[in-house]
This record gives sequence, C-alpha cells and structure tokens, in this order.
Amino acid sequence: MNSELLATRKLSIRMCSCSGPQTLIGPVDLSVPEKGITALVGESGCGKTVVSLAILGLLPAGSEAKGVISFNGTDLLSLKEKELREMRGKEIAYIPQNPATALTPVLSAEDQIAETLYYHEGLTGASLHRKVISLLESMGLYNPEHVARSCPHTLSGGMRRRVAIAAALACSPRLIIADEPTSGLDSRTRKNVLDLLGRSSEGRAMLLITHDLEAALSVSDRITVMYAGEVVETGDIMDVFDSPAHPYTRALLSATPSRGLIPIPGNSPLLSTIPEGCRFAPRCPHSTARCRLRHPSLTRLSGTRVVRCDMPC
Amino acid sequence: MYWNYLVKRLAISIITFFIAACIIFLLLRTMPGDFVSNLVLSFGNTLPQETVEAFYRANGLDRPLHAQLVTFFSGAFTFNTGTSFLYGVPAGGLIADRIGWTLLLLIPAAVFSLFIGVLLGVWSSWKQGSGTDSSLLAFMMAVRAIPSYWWGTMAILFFAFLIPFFPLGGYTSLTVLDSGLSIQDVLWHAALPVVVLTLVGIPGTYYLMRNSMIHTLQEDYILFARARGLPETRVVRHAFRCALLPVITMSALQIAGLIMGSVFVETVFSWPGVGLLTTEALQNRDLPVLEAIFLLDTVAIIVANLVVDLSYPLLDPRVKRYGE
Amino acid sequence: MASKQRILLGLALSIIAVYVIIAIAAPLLTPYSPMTSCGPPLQSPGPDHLLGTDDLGRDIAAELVYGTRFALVIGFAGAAIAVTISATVGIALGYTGGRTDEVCSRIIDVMMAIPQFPLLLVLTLFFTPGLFLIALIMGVLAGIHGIRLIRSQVLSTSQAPFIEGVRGLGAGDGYIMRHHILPALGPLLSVKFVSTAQHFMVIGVGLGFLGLVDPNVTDWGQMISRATQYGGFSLGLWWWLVPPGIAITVISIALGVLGTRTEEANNPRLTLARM
Repeated sequence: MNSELLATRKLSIRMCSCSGPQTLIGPVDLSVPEKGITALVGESGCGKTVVSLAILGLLPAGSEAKGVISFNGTDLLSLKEKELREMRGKEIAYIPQNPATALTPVLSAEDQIAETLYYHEGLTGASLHRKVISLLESMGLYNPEHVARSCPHTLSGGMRRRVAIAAALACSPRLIIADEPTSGLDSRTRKNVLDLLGRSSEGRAMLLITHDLEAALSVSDRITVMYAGEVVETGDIMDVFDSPAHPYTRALLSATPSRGLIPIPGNSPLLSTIPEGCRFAPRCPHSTARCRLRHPSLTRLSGTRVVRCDMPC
Repeated sequence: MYWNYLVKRLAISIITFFIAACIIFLLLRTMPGDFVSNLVLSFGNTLPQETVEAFYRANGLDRPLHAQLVTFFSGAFTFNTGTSFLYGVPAGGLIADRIGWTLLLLIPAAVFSLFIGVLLGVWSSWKQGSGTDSSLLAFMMAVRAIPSYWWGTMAILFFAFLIPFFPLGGYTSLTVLDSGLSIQDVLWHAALPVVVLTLVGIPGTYYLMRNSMIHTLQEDYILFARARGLPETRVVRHAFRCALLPVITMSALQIAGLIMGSVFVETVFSWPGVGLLTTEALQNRDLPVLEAIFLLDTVAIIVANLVVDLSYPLLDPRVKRYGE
Repeated sequence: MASKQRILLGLALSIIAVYVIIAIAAPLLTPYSPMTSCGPPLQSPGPDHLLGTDDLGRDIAAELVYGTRFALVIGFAGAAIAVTISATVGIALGYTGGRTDEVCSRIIDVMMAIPQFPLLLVLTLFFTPGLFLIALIMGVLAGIHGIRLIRSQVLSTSQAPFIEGVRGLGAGDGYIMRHHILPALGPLLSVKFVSTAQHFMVIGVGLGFLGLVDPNVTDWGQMISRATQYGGFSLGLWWWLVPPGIAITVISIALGVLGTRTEEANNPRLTLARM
C-alpha cells in the first residue's frame, strides 16, 4: 500500500481582510500518497491556491495558518523559515498557475534552472551546465543549448512552460504541487501539458490543483473536493466518479460537458460571509432544515472514502 | 542595426536642441517690452540716449532679427551667446571657468543620491507595510517638502554658525593667500553643499525605486523564485534586476532637479559654480550669460535623455535591439 | 494606524486653513505695513514688534503675515492654471486623436525637452514680475508639461468598454468628455493639483530668494535672502532668518501630507498593501 507523504490535519488559514482578521479557509484535511496524482478540485475562490501556498509557507504577509501540515513526518508549520526554504524546490516543488509568466524576464533560462540546483545541491561549473542541458532535454526541448542561452521573451509560450517546469523539478522533488496548470489552454495544449506533468511525476507524488474536473479525472488517482473553504469529499478517483457521495460533487460532475452541462443553481458564498450549518445547503437540492442549522463533520464511508454530508447518497 | 537607432536618436536630439535654442531666442528678442528698455528702466531711466544706443550697437542688438539669429546660432554650439553685460567677457568663457566647480558638487551628489535612494527604495519595498517602511516614507516626504535653499540655510546655521565646524560658505579659506589652493580645504568647503544636494536628490529616486520594486514583487516570477527555495537575497535580486530599468529611464529627469538644486545650493553656500553664476546673471540682468546657461542646461538634459535611450536596449533584453 | 493617519490628515487640512485665514485677514493681524519702516532697524523681538525689525526697520511679523499671500497665490492660482491647461488640452488631444493629436504631441515632446526651471528664470528676469504674473508663467510652463500624462490617461480611458457603451447609447463627444472622461480623471487631477501647489510655493519662494521677484512684493524668499546677507548669520538674528523658512516648510509639509493621502485614497491597492 502506498504510504502517506503529505497530510494536513485541521488546517485553517486566517487571512487579513478589511474587517479584521478572520478564519477564511478550513478546516482542510488533505492526504497525498507517496506516489501518484491527487487532485484538489473546487470552484475558483474556494481556497485551493491558498492551501497550496500554506503548504509552501508562502502565504501573503498578515495571514496565518493553524493546524498541522505533515510532510514525510515533519510538521511544516513548526519549521523555521530557513528550514522551510531548504524544503521548497528540493523536496516540494511548485508549478505556478501560468508557467509562461513565471520566469524572470531579464535572466536566461539556464540561469534560472541553474540557480535552483546551485542553492539546493551545490552544483557548479561544468556539471551544473550538463545537468541543466539534460533537464531541458528531458522536457522534450530539441535544441537545449540554444534554449538555455535564451531569455524568456525570445521563447514561445510552450517552451517557456517547459523551462519553468524544468526549473521547478530540477532537484527531483518528492512532491509536486501544480496550481491550475491547464487553465486558459486550448484542449490540445491542455492534453500535452497533462501528459508532460503525468510523465514528470512518475514515481513521485503530485498535488494537482484545478477547477477542471475532467482534467482531474483523466490523470489523477485520488481526488479531494473543496467547497467554500472546506473539504467536502475525498476518495479514490473511480469511486468518486462512479458514485459521488456529496451532493456538491454530484452537481459538479453533472456540470461537466460529457454529462450534459447541467448548471448548479445559485452562487458559491464569499469566504467572508459563510452560512451557518452546511455550507452547501442553500444550493443543495436535498437540503433539509437540519442541514441549514448543523454544520456536518467529515464522516468516513469506507477505507479512504470521506465525505462531509449528513445524508450522503 | 543598433547603429541606425543610434544615428536616428542622435539626429532627434540635435533637432530638439536647435528648436529649443530657437524658442529661447525668439522668446527673448521679440517679446513685447524689449529687454534693453527694461534694463534701462532698472537704472531709473537716467541713462543718456547715446549710451543706450552705444550699448545696442556694441552688443549687436540694433541689427535685424535674422542677422542676430545667425550670430546667435554660430555661437550657440559653443555656448558663446555674446559678451556678458556684467563682466565684458564672452559668456562661453565664463561658463567654462565655472563648470568645473559645479561638477565638483553635482557628480558626487548625483552618485550618492542615486545610490542611497535606490538602496533605501529596495529596502523599503522589501519591508513593505512595516514600521520601517512607513517611517522611511514619512521621512522622504518631509525631505522632499523642505526647499533646498532652506536645507542649505539650516545646514549653515547648525553646522557652520552654531557649531562652527564647517565654513560658512565659499570654496576656500583665506589661507589661500599664503599657501595656495589646497585640495583638502576645497573638499572641506564642498562637504556641506554636497550633503545638501544629495539629501535633496534622494526622495525622487527612493519613490521611483520603491514603487517599481513593489510592482515587481507582486509578479508571478517572484512567487516562483520563492517557491523554488531561493534565498531571499537572491529573490530580491531577481526583482531588483527588473525594477531598476524604469528607474534608469526616469533618472534623466533627476538631472533637471539637480540643476535646479544646484542654483539654490550654490547661492546659499556662495559656491562659485554655474548655479551662482545664474543668480549673479539674474540679479544683474546679464542676458547673454543667461542664454548660455539656458543652452547648457538644455544640452545636459538632452544628453541625459540620449544616454538613457541608447543604453536602455543594451540593459533590457526585452526591448528589441534596434529601436522602436 | 488608520486613526493616526486621519489625525495627520486633519492636522494638515487645519494648517492649510490657518494659512488661508492668515492670508485673507493679514491687515487685521498686524498693525504694521510690511513695506514701510516703522521703527529703528534690527530691533530684537519685543512687545511692540513680536519678531523685531529688519535692516530697514520693517516689522518682521508683518512681513511674515503678508508673505503668506504670496505663497498661497503662487501655489493655488498657479496650480489651478497648470491643471486647467493640462486637462483641457490633454482631454482634447487624447479624445480627438488623429493628425491634430500627432502634430501637437510632437510639439509638446520638443517643448518638454526644454528645461523648465532655467526657462522660468529667464522669463521671470524678463518681466521682473509681480505675484500674478509669476503664477501665470509657472502655471503655463507646468501646464504644458502635464499635457502628456493627461493625454495618455484619456487615451486609455476613452478606449474603455464603458465609453463605447455610452457612445452606443447615443451620447455626443462633448457629453462624454464632460460626464465620463473628466470625472474619471478627477483623482489624477486632484493629486496633480495638490502636488503642483506644493511645488510652486517652494519654487515661488525660491524665486524671491534668488532676488527675482518685484521688490515691492513681500515674500518669504526675499526675507530669507535679506536675513542671510544683512546679519541673520553674522549677528545671530535667528528670529529674522528662521520664521520665514519655517513658514514655507510647514505649509509645504502640510500639502505633502494632503497629496499623499489623496493619492492613497485613489489607489486602494496601495492602502490595502499598507494595512
């Protein structure tokens, strides 16, 4: 059995807002096994990106994370900034939302890949250069020497994406966090990117953050669904796909093109005005008076299957 | 290709200078209430008519406008705009004598203020929102609000008058009569004016740098650099490389501010540079000298802009090497 | 934090209000005229003359009070002229576009290459101007310099979708300029007005300091320059030298605070980041 690499327990994130600090996100209980892709799915604004920043320890100034983020047995939240920094890039890699704009415009591709290797593995000189070239090659770039010398603005969007992924994965991290890697792409590019990510994550763990349920279904092994800042359902991808337990998951699945594009009524709540009781209750077709009063807790359905609903299907 | 761009920018600069010179010429020589009658009025209108006419003739002011224009331009490129009314020597020569003294103040002040402004701006943006940042911001606002001539006067009052450590003004002590001009003595006299000019120049660079850094630090690539576990010094260097470019473009504007500052500061400290020459020429209505100074300042600003424009494509890989 | 900022803003506004009152009520505040000798020269401060008298026997307090008029008129009238010129020409050019815009923009580019301050000096020398003429010259020069910024702002605003929408509803050009573009420029113009006023006061007093202002006008710059030349330092008459400098510094800082607050109020991102 695949053991757990990353797990968050009762992770809640307080963010600064106009009317004083307040809990916005959480509790989030997330589990990423050592191998394979775990998808974290939810509508935009449900707090997926904030969770990924919290794992990296890169929350914006003024916000605070509570709970436990355990990575390979250590609690990341208890680490000092320096220890955390040594973890980032070496153990945990982050592929940002738009890798095409994620490269510093005035530095060459080689500089940016090399600096990661230099700071984490202490490589220098010719061995550093060789490693950079082999990384670029493994990303499927045909002329790695030329690409290495180029500044980002001379490369095409697709090439930039590959360079950025090479820089992120340079030190063979054990966990890769990919934040919306497919947003805003046409379907062909989307497939290419997903293939590339799938290949690069072979034998490692990946947390794929996306609002694109179909992308999640096509590549991942496990799925966690978030709604309005909290986890509503977790399970193996096929189980969730075949028999979604939470009404929100079911609604999301019905909203995919292959299942008829049925919209979910209403809007998801703003994170600052979260309803009491079940957060999905106002939009849920099966909600009862009890749902609106009592906030349901996560209940284990079977093995690794967890759902936050008092009346799961 | 870069050469084409260079030649084009050079041509534009020369044309700009030519037009600026034309404008100042027409403005001063064709405006209603001509200059000399104003000058005569300032003597209480007591000069005999012959003296006035002799003055016109001596300075070529009686000739037709187009002839004056030709003389003006034949001298304009060497700043020889005529004979100083006050000193009776060519204006270009006066400027040549004084420019060294001005540069002795301006160059250190420009370098120091640029360096300190950039440094504090980067620091402030990195600590954005903290106590240090807001106190630095408030301090810079105050420095900018206080006029340069008042900074100078205060500096003299405190560090030369109340605590008589620095000299009250001028460029040398009286010992010059016995032992000749000594470098230490001149530098000792230059210290306060340089400090004041530097101080006055800092806020502009500071604001530009801070703003530019704050915008850059919000970019995706900074988050990505942090997410790769790069040390914070390296992350700031990424941002700095990108944020410095707009500051360099704007630095040409700082030259104009420094020229203005030097007029006030040299006057306060009686420092014998072009700034003090400006004030003397103004107080004595010395038109040719003022025209020459005006042309000099125009050239300084045009050249500064040219240098920035020409170096920008070399500094920023995103700009195409060969111009627009 | 926020309340401290509010106190600072209130303080700045009250300082500006006090200066305006002093400028208007000058004759009521001092029995002396700032231009005529009213006692022996170089007196120390005393009950008759709160800040003593200068080398010509003029009451320093009276000069100080009347000097407020000079600074305020240069600052506010000059800034009003500058902002009006920048706004009207900038809106007209940016909104009309086409050939006129191109030709005018070229001309303005060349004008901007001419250093403003030396030009200002030459012009003031030419006219030996009084108060209003200085304000006019400064306003026109700075107005021309401001056109480019306003024009580019108008260009980006007039291409915004909401302007197209309004045009689609049948609004005329004049209506759009007055009711949509001008209000959209409001924040920028108000920031520009305050910072220009501050700049002009400092420069205007500076012109007096350089001896360029009509000697029949009372201004702080001439006071400072006279004081430094006729005994402010050598005789230690600090009550003659320091008050005019403090006066210009205080109003300049007050306007600086007001300018910063106006800028922040119009740029919420900056304020958010600062919390």
